[in-house]
Amino acid sequence: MALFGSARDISMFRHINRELLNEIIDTRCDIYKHSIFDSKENLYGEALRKVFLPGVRVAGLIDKDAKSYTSEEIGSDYTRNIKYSFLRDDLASLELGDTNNTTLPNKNAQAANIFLEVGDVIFWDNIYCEIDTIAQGQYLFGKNPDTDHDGGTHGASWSVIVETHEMRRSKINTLESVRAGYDEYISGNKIDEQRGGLYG
Amino acid sequence: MAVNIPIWPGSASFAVGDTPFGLYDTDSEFTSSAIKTADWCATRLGYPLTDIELQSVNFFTCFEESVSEYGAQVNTYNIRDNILSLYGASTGSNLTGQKVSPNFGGLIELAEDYGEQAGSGGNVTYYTGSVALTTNQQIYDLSDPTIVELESGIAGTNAIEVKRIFHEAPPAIARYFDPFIGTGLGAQGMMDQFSWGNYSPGVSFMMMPMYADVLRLQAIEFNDQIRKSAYSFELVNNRLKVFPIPQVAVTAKIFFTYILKSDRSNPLKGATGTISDFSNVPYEDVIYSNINAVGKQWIRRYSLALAKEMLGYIRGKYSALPIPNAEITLNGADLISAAQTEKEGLITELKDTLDTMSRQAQLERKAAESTAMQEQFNKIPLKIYIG
Repeated sequence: MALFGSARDISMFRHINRELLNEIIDTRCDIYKHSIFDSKENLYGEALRKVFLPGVRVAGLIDKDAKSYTSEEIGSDYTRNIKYSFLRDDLASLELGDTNNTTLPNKNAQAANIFLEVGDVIFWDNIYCEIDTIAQGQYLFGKNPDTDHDGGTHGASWSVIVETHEMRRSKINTLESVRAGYDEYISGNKIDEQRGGLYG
Repeated sequence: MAVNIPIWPGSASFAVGDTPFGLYDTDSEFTSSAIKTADWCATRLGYPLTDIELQSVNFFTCFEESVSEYGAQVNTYNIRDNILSLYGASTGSNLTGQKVSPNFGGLIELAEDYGEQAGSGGNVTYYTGSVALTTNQQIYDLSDPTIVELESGIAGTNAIEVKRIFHEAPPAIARYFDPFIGTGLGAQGMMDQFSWGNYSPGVSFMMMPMYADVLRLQAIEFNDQIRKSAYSFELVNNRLKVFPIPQVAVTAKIFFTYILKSDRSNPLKGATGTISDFSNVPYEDVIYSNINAVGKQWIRRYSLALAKEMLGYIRGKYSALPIPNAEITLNGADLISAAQTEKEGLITELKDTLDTMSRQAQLERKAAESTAMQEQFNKIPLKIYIG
């Protein structure tokens, strides 16, 4: 039995992190996951028109690189990498409001409201990013409660860090794309509130 | 769901048992003040702009401790200022909130051993003893129980200290039984030599003035001093040497007063169940609703310092706190440092205030006031009479 990093400590960390991410820094992005069953694939298994589930807005730390320009025969282009760091508990469950939960920390990771995967899209700063890599290796006190031999009473898997690249807007069916299919544009709403537009 | 320990939600409600000791939980003024103080402390610590990682019970704990600390300081001052008047009083009655009247009890208690040594009172009993004399024996052993009789204790067994030996010449008046007899000094002196000085032949009587008696008494004493051995004694290490050598019957005794050394050395002379030291002066916890506004403000400020310190320890338990892909350092150390300074300042302030109210300080203040006033009066011009 470890002495440090119990569920109470983790709870305090979570309070601090949520205050920092959601109330002090307060940079939020929208995460869109693929709706696999709604995306039609062709003969080669390619989904040319990807369909996305409604976006979920979460707070995170965002590290936006500068643009990297290339100039080739077909013209100039640029790319940009953006790293998003999320509190894993925020992704696992946006509503952690009960007060009598004495179960194990992060025990409900499988019941996450959102589970990031490579290929999911993040919208922030009017930029769509596609997830390239996902890392969940920040274990507090060196323990992942989900796999720890001690029963998961200590430690926490703390973050989900994703590295993304800026997408071409033409790759997704955004509102701005006149070539997009059936969107659900809601008249009068701002562009970043048009979550339905990503249904495809 | 992960474990979620709630933090300060922005308001509190009090229930009996919310404080660790429950010393004041039934005082309605305390409970209402606890809620308000919790709210005030949280606001002073930054809520609602920042989260406060404390719960209402933490604030209530600080509040209870503050009231107890205030009471302890006041009670300590009261004990210190009144201890001499409280020594020996019953421990059964609660002195909290009671006016203690000064008295000489403790002071006299301190002086009793001096009184005992001086033979003018004290708390050690003076007993009477006697040593039986033997004809022609000058030296007597006071530890010999066959010749020494003690009122308390046994000679040779219980250590005694002789305070006074009654071995003096018989007073002249005792040997001048009947000043009215007219047999003359020669007959009186002769009878005295045979130890019959206090017997009168009673043959004739005459009226004589008082000065004649005095002169005759002086003559007897003067005669004893010049012609006879002086009555004296020497007492060293239980050996009593008497002068003159007894020439009396074997039933004669020399009496003395003494104390038992064990009585004098006995430190437990007071009654049980009485105030003996700082620890059993019966001051109980203060009654919160009886504390005045000055005290309540001190309690609130001390509660804030305690809450700040507690929050500092919570935020400082880990030097670096993890956030996604990074670490941050909270202000735990700053909070602890500030809180300790505030606590120390508040305690010093309260002690200083109490010290200025001691009897000694009040008397000194009065003396200074009187002196200053006298100086002022001295500056008033004297009247000039123009006549």
